[in-house]
This record gives sequence, C-alpha cells and structure tokens, in this order.
Amino acid sequence: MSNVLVIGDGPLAYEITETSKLNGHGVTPYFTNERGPDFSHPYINVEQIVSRSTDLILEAAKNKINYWYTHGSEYPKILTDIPILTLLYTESATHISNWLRNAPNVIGWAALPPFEKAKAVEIMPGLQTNQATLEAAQQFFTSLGKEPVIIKDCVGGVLPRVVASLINNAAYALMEGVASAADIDVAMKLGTNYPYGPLEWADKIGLDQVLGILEGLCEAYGEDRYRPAPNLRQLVYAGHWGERTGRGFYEYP
Amino acid sequence: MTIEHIKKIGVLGSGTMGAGIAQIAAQSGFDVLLYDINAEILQKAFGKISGFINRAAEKGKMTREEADIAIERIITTTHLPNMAGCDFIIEAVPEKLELKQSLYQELDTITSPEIILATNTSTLSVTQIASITKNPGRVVGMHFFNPVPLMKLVEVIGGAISDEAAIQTTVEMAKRLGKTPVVTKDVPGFIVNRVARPFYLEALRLLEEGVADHATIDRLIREGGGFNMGPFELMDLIGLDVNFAASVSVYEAYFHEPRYRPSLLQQRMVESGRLGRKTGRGWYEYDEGEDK
Repeated sequence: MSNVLVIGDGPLAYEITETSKLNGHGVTPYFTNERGPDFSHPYINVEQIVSRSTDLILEAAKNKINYWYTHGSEYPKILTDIPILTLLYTESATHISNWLRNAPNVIGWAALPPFEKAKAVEIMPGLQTNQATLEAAQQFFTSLGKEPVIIKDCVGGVLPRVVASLINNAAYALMEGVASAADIDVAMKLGTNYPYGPLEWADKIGLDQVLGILEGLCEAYGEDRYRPAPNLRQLVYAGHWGERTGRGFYEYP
Repeated sequence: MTIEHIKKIGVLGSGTMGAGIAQIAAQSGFDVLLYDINAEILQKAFGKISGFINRAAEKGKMTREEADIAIERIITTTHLPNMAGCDFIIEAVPEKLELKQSLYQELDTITSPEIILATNTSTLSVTQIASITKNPGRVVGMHFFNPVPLMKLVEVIGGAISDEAAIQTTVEMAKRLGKTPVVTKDVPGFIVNRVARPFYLEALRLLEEGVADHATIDRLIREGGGFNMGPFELMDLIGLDVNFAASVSVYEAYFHEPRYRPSLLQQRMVESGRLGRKTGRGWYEYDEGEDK
C-alpha cells in the first residue's frame, strides 16, 4: 500500500483511481477534462500538487506537455525520488524523461479502458529508466491485480496502437458513408468477434485520447498511415469526446 | 420480388460457402436448388450438408423429423437452366470476375428480371459484376462469413447501380436466414475486411520494430484488450497466405493507401511456406492433430 498521486485527463485516469483505492492505496486524484474541454487548467504544476508523502505518481494524460514540460531550468527536487509512471499515448518514456532532464525515475505504461477488464498492463522502460523505477512500476500494477508485461519503449504501446488504428479506420469508413456507426460496430463484433465495436470503444476511451494516440504516432513515425480521420478531429474540436461528455460517435442521453 | 413470395432459393457453387448457405437456407424453411458445374463436388457437398444437419439432430438442436425435412428440401443440379424456377439466387462461385460475369449473363436469359441475384463475393466489386448484365439493378452483394451456419453477420452490399428495393429484400432475406444484416457501400473489403486490416498490419509493424515478440503481442491484445484471439494466432488460423492476399488486395484496391500497406515480414513468412495451422507451422508451431 502506498500513497499514489493520480493525474490525468481521460477516462483511464478516473478508472485507475478507483482501482487503486479498491486495492488499498491512498489516492490523491488530480483530474482535468473530466466532462470535456477544461480551459481553466492549461498547465499543471506537478511540483505543487505532489506531497512529501507521495510514493508514486501515476500519470494518465494525453496532454503531457501540460504536466511535464513547464518546469524551470532545474529539475524539481521533490520529483527526483518518486517513480513517475507516464501513459504512453502520445510520447515515449524516453521522450518524457528527456523533458525532465533525462530523469531515471520515469517509466512508460499503457492500457485501455475498460481498465477493470484488463488482466495485463504494458510497461515500457525508457532508455534512461533505472531498475528501481521498473520494479516500482511492476509492484504497483501487480498490486492492482494486473500482470505487468515489459515491452520496448514506444508511442502507443501494443494495445492502444492497434485499437486506435482500428478506430481510425472505422472513422474513415464512417466519414466516407460506407455504413452507419451502428452497422460498422455490429459488423466488427459479429464478423471478427471484437469485444467492442471500434466506434463504441472510442467513446469509452475518449475521442480526445484516441486522437492523441494517432497524433503521437504521426509525430513519432512521420507516416501517413497514422493520419487521423478528419471526422474524428471534428468531433474532438466540438467537445464530443464520448461517453463522459454525453456525445461522441453516439449520443448518451 | 418481395420477401413473402420467395419460396425457393438457388445457390450457385457448392464450395464451403455455397454449401453453408444451402444448409442454412434449407434449415430456414426454403426449398434449395444447389448448382455446381462439377457433379462430383456437388455430391460431396450434399453429403457434407446432410452430415452437418444429421449431427445437429443428434445433438438435439433439431428433431429427427426437422432434419429429414431440411435435407429433403435440397435438390442438386449441374444444369444451370434449372435455376429458372428459383425466386432468389445466391451466387458463391470462385472469385473470378469473368466466371461470375459469364454466369450472370446466362442468368439474364434463364431468370425473369425481378429475381434478385445476390453475390457472395468478398473481394470483387458488386458494381463491376453487375455492370455487364441486362438488369444490373437486381444484382446485390450478400457477403456471408465462414463458417456460414455459425457466423451471424451478413454484409449486404448495394452496388452503385443496385435497386433500393433489391437491397431491402436482401436485408430481409438475411434476417429470414437467421442472420444479422448490415448494409454497406460497394467499397473494397466492405466493412469487416477493410476495418480489420490494422488488427494484423499494426501487430506486424510492432513485431518488425521489435516492440515485443509475436506471443507477447497476442497476449497483450487478449489479456489487455479482451479480444478472443491475438492477431498472430488469428493469422495462423486464417492462413498467412490468405491473410496476406487480403491485405495486398485491399492495399491495391485503395490505390496504395498507406493505412493498408502490407507487411514485408508477412510476405517472407508466406514465401517460407509457414502458412499457419494448415501447414503445422506459422507464427506458432502445431503438433499434428493438435487443435490449436
């Protein structure tokens, strides 16, 4: 049991807060964008919300630059000893560590909502990550009843990258009028046995988060295959981010 | 022709898909005329179908009497003009455009123009198949999934020149056959074979990049995401050659859209002859007789 600071801007952050509490951790949540675009917190100074009793920082944020790129020239001392687990939707762990003056206490992780159903979680040591941080990450996810699986540091990990690509492809099909959102989802569930249709899954993950993964992949690989579907981007602009905002590809009255 | 008037379904082609379609049509209460150019293949298909239906009766899924009636409903023929008596025709012959087109031209002279011709193509354009027929409006796509008796989905494809009424009747027909229809435009891969491509292609990219080995990727997709099977397990089941050909076909059909670019690594696997379960080895190794 430890004191965990959970910071984030999407459904995964909210869900992992509950999972951490259920497993006996003391949790301090710090969320933005809970019900859509949150213009009041453009930048988050983690140095000011972390406390001396914080044992671990779990970050599940799409807009990482708002959390980790706003410090002064000195790496804040208070952050040097706390393992920082950063969700690799948009940048690699190596990249985030670089923002923090190549701090060795940064490690990447990846998962998708619904987190409750996940049995395994991806963890990705960056080039700078030390052994103690890796062990802390492994211990933390094990304490949540999830098996930590180590993979190479990269943007999007395995599951988020594959699912975001499926969602993007489904969004293009929708935009091109190939079929309705409901028919696309039914087809993928019945034709391929996916656990969710890609568009309903996007609504659970958060369209803002899905767009973040695709933009992160575009940036990391510079390849056209990851360019986000324009209709996905439009929905994100409009604040239709999925279940948590009452509207995404579907409406949630 | 509206759905109420359809009593007899013609099925062209008695391969895996055609036989499966004939089976569910008979089980759904239709008279079935199953056609194949090859009498031997046709007899084998009929044997298989009656075997499946008999087994279903033995398992208690239907009564002995229902099974006997279903089997009796299926008549086989190698004589295409016999299709004249059918109210709805489903074509499931091999995926060769010339073959399908010549068949549809013959059907032009055999069948009356209000009979719907539904093609079970998965890779060809419905519009192109229809284009050379006299009444292209009656040609609709009806894409079943393998194994037909188990898979609930049917993609109903409206070609660029399909009649709206023909599309609607085909949707109703899919429901009468116990399936869940979805309506899609005539685009390469329709919905499923198009939208599913990244499931394989991104997994292959992750493997090529060395992010994780194939077994770890499969595990993360299954245990992290709740999928029944990982992409590499699924490729082994489908056959790497079949899966690779589907990727190449979609990639070509979308004029080299980068989202569909096939994998070089997968091509090498196909070249090596490690095609999956059917050859005993693909991404995984399979012992003989093992059902993995």
